[in-house]
Amino acid sequence: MTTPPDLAACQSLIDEGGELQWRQVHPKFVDGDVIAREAFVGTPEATDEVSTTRASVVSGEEAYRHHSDHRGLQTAGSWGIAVHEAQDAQRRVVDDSNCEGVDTPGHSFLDMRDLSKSERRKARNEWAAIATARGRSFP
Amino acid sequence: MALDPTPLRFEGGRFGEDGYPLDAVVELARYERLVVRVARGLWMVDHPGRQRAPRHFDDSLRLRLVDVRDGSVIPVLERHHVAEEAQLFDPDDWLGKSQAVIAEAISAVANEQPLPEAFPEVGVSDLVQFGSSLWEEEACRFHRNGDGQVRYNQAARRHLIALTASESIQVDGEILGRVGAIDANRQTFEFADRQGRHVSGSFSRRSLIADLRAVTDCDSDAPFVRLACRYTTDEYGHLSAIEDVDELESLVSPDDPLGHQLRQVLELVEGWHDGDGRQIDPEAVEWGRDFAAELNVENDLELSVFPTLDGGLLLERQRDGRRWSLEVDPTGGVFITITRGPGDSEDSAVDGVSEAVESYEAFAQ
Repeated sequence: MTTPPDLAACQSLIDEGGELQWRQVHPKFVDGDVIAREAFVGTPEATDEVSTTRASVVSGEEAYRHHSDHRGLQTAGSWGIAVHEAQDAQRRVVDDSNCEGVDTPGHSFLDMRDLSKSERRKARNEWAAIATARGRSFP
Repeated sequence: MALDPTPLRFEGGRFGEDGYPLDAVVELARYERLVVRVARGLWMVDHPGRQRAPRHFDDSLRLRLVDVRDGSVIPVLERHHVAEEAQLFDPDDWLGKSQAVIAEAISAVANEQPLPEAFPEVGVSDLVQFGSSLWEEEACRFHRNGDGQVRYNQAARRHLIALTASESIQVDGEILGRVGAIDANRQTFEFADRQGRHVSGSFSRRSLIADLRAVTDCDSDAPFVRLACRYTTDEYGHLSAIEDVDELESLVSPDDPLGHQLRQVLELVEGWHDGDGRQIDPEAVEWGRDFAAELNVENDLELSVFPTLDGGLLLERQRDGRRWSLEVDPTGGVFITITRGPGDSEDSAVDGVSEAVESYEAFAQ
């Protein structure tokens, strides 16, 4: 593991350990109660930044509605990961909702930018296991 | 011969200002597809004894847009280095050769001449598609090594369409899909490709009747087959008919463990994930099929099958908070990741199906 990249001025670390971060999961990554670890891959532009939204800012339903109704993207629902769960093994959670171009209320991301491919597979596996065990929050 | 980083120059219409118009990005994707297809065709001509191009051939030739120069609009391309291991071929050399042959073909078309003999037939449908979104007042200039430029526009493209429409665009290759019906007397059959497009097919070898009958099914769970055949495509590159079949192989049947789930993954079309998401590599699906076939039935029913965004396959199981995941990536790499709890995971590459089966059965105990 290398040193995590410095955060931009508009970004900040989230350290409220119990706060959930909502992840929208595409329907193709859901099989019954199980969600795929692929659900924790970021966008093509930033595959190592897994977009989430802060439960202290929006509810699971609001996060779902924003993703499906406002952004017009497919989602099977909101699954939650607590900050302390995402932080295990030196991973971090970043609030970037104040950055230019970010229009999702309470936007944050699970930061994997400093991880190798193997470490990313492990991180995604752990987050998928946690999210699957916790279950869907909405709908 | 090296890659020409600036093989194209767009001008007129939307290209009259600085920057590359986003609604024309599709033409760069078409150019990349054309270059890769032609390179593969050239490689096959150069290696007549080989059935297919080397592993990673297409991926090693992928291009990226790294800059756009002003003065008309000049996209600057470079090769996307994906495969890290030593290559059995020189990707830059094949890219350069492909670009040169394409520029010569465009020059012939612009001068209303037939396509040059060196242009591989498998590239014709992609050549026809290139430029289809250009406006009448727009043009693309192709850079010819040491021989100036040639201008390509819709008028030239209409000549190309007339040229290729007068005879079928035939391709010798492999297609995936399912057989819906067979007429043994006429030696014809109905076929649906991966996108669900229905076409008619013919075959000359009567010995294929039994093979075709064995996979014929109108049900949505019909076996997915791979046909080595001669087929034709329309001007958009879509399958239009199957002219003759050399070989037929069942890829996934409903009787295979996980057969239903693997079929669903095979049917995903490019862009299945809100516009992203590559079509799933058939070889990754075959790997999953062979793995599931080695498991005892009680275990395999607990596995979930997922596509990956880059065209690979995931097989996963979660049990009591623990998770076992097997990923087959589209370049042939296979990895198993086992999670026992937060911060407690291991990840390793796998050499073969037996090793993966052993790992899964140990996890499932």
